[in-house]
Amino acid sequence: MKIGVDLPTAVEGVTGEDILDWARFADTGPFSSIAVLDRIAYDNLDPVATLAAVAAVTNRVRLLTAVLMLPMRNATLFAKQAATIDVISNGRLTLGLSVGVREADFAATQVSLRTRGNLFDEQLALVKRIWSGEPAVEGGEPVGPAPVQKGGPEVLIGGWSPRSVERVGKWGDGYISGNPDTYPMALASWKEYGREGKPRFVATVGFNLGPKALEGVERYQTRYWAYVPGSAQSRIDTTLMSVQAIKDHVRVMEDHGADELILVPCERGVEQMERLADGLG
Amino acid sequence: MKIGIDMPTAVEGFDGTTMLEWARLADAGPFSSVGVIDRIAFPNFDGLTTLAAVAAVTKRVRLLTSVLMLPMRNATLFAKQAATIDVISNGRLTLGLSVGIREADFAATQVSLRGRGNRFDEQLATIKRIWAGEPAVEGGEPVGPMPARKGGPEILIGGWAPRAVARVGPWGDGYITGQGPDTIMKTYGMALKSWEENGREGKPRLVASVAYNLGPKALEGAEKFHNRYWAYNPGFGQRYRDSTFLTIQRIKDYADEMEALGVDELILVPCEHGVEQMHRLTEGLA
Repeated sequence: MKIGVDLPTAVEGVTGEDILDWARFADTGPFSSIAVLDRIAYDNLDPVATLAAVAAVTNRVRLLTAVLMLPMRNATLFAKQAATIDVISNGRLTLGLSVGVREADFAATQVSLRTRGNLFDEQLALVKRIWSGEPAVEGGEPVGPAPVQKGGPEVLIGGWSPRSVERVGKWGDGYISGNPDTYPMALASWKEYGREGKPRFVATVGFNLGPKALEGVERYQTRYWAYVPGSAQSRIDTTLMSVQAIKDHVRVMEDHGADELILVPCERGVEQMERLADGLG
Repeated sequence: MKIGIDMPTAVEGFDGTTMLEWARLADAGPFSSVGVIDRIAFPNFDGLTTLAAVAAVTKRVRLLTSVLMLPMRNATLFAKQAATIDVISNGRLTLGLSVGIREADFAATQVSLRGRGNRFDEQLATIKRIWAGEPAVEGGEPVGPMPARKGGPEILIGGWAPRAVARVGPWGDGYITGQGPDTIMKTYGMALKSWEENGREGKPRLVASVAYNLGPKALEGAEKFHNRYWAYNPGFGQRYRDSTFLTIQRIKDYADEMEALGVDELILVPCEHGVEQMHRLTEGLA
């Protein structure tokens, strides 16, 4: 199974230098992907701008949004930005896309949370049209550039609700989730749409390594999950804090059919990735 | 006067490898800024995404949108992306911003062309609030990251209409234009007036841009670029083709003229994507 790593874009105090150091290290290390998360009303770095920067300093790793919320974005502008990153990275972009759930992110962009499901469906259709070279609106001019990957970047659908997971067969190349319980639903959707093979399954999990691992996890998860009071503890409990725990989790997810596991850091120091690379050998 | 250079993001056949080469060469060369144009219903590279990539492989040059149309964008997401590029580049981002004019770009994003002036004003207020650390909406959470430059990236207002130029005083750090000397003087006079009316100190930074193409087939390349770029308005295409500089001497003379007019930075816009276009410029200006 492939192992990818998230960038610490949501860790307090993260700098541009941290991001580029992580990116360069991951590109030369044993990692398959460099991923970024998406929040809006929060002090994380923007995922699209970050992946564009990462594309410029890497040659090998795939670039992944894990995951990006589409409904707050203008689909035409998003399609153009994604295609540009795909060109700059020579076809290394994978888009984990979801409908979004945090009220604060919808409020900050003044987009309605209520109609996000329908909007997401329309947007998926639109971005695919744009990537295939068709105009965004009837009779309009095409929106370039043409992505390097034919038909556009690989799309992984995120989310756990039946309606979300059902999009895998229709729009996705795969499914992205921290929880394997919904993967059978993604498989069912894949079959329903008559797709061949099976959807690529990418899983995610938090980690923190080193002598003060727990302290770092508590600080990060408490801050990150402040918008859902009482939820931080379960996140702290499921964050992996030893190389052995990570290795065990890799095996468990492999048994669930995962093709790639993305490890999400809680601290910004590049030594976190060094410990990971050493531990995974 | 400083000399900056646009990336050939709207030239046919431009690719990622060439883009990174332009960025690295510009950073090592005599150029003050790397600029990007903005179009939507056209096969150019997205401007902000390109500048994020340029930020990662450069240390010195400023990164410039010359210019970016704000009304088609969600101001909150734009503010967050711009702040991120400012963080990655350690404070090197300058945003040339305008209201936009091409119908095809508004149509492609499904944003109304009508009302774009009011929308632009509201957006400028929103992005400044976000960059100051205030929530995008009342009672909301702040939208980070904090830009590296206090208060947010430098803003240059683009456009020629009196209403557009009148935004320099309330919102801008300067004014950016692609017009010739006569129009520059007229509109910069308006920008200065807006600056003074808003009680600003000093004077607005003045950035001008002009197209160039050098080498044995300079004219052919310039025609090819402008015919494609201005296909939606052949009259403009003719005008910009005729005002494209095809020799180093013409560029030097124009730079002298611009300097005499008080222009602080001149951005040279390439018509071809080969890095030899930058080499010819670097050697010629040396």
